[in-house]
Amino acid sequence: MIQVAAIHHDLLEGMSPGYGFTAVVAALLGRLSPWGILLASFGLAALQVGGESMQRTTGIESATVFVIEGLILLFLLAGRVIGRERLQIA
Amino acid sequence: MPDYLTELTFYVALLTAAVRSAAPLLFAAIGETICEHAGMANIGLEGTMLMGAWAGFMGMYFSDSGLVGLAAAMLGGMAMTVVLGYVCISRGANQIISGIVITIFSVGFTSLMYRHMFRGAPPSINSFETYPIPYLSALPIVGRILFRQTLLVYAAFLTVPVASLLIYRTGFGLCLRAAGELPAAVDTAGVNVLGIRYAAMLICGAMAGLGGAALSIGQLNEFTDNLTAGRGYIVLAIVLLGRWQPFKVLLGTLFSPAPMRLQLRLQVLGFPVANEVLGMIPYVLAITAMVPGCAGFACRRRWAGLTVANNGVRPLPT
Repeated sequence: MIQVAAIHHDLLEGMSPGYGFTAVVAALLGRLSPWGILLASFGLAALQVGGESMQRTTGIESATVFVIEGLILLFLLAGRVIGRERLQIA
Repeated sequence: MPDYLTELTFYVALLTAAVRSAAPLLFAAIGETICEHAGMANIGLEGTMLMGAWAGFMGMYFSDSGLVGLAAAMLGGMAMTVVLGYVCISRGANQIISGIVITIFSVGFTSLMYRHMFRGAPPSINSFETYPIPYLSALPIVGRILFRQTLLVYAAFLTVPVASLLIYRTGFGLCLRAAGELPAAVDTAGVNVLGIRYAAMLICGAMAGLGGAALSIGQLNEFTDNLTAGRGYIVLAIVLLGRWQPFKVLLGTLFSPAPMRLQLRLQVLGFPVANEVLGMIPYVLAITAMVPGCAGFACRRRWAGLTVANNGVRPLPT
């Protein structure tokens, strides 16, 4: 809705390119707390918008962003639980 | 009513195409079935298929051999599920978020590598040739639909009885199902639950990779960005609908591409209805089919099990 009203001012075909899935990631990364989600979605959005402008200015493929995003999130997922395990042992 | 809707050839061609496009879905769906029996939901199936499609295309392009392409596709899919398995099984991370992340990574990685390697004209590769089965392909209508396909399609259909035997008639299958239903019992019996789950994930990766390859090198002979276009998610729905039984899953994979093909054909032939309305047919049918499927008891019980495994808590005191 916000996308329709604020960004494009128009209903475009295919205007939500995978945002639903990114939103699920944002919600879970923010551990389902509103402020966490705000932080997570801001970070993800910065990555994607930054990737697009990177392609415009330097000609680097914007697909690079998805690779980086995927890697960051994977390490985050794998790393977060290590911390929890240490807590349990202590 | 237009003439072509009353002709037999229209329906034969439609069903032949539907059987052909069922093959990629079938490979992935059987893999996911095995994986979900072990209590692991590979939500990253879309990414796994895409990686398989890309790896298969690369293997085929550089070696010009179908077998190398298929082996590369299996390795590509397995590489994805090893990572997913490590994050979900050994680290106990949330399965759904890990799956989505794997998909995001695969979409980016395959597009990046493909564009990096082939700037300009898209390369083409040799296709798998159709191999009519002697005698059977001479049958009047069934022969045309079922027995004049590529070897990859026959292989896809062969995985159904094999998977059924594996899940319900072998010791490994018993451990597999027990690892999903009651991991503590498996552990008490002295079997390594995490090992079983890793094995299931690897099988799922190899099968999903083959599914992607069946799409890129078995059907389209090319690779494009986001080639799988949501098929992985369709497969997840099919597995749910088929209630984790290989033969019911087979039915799901046969019925789901048919509306898609019908829509394409009607569009090409100029059926007097707007394209967008035709484009909704597959999804309306899918949602209609989901309603009775998900109201069932088995469905609720299985998803309850999945959410328990999903809390990020390790299933076992290891």
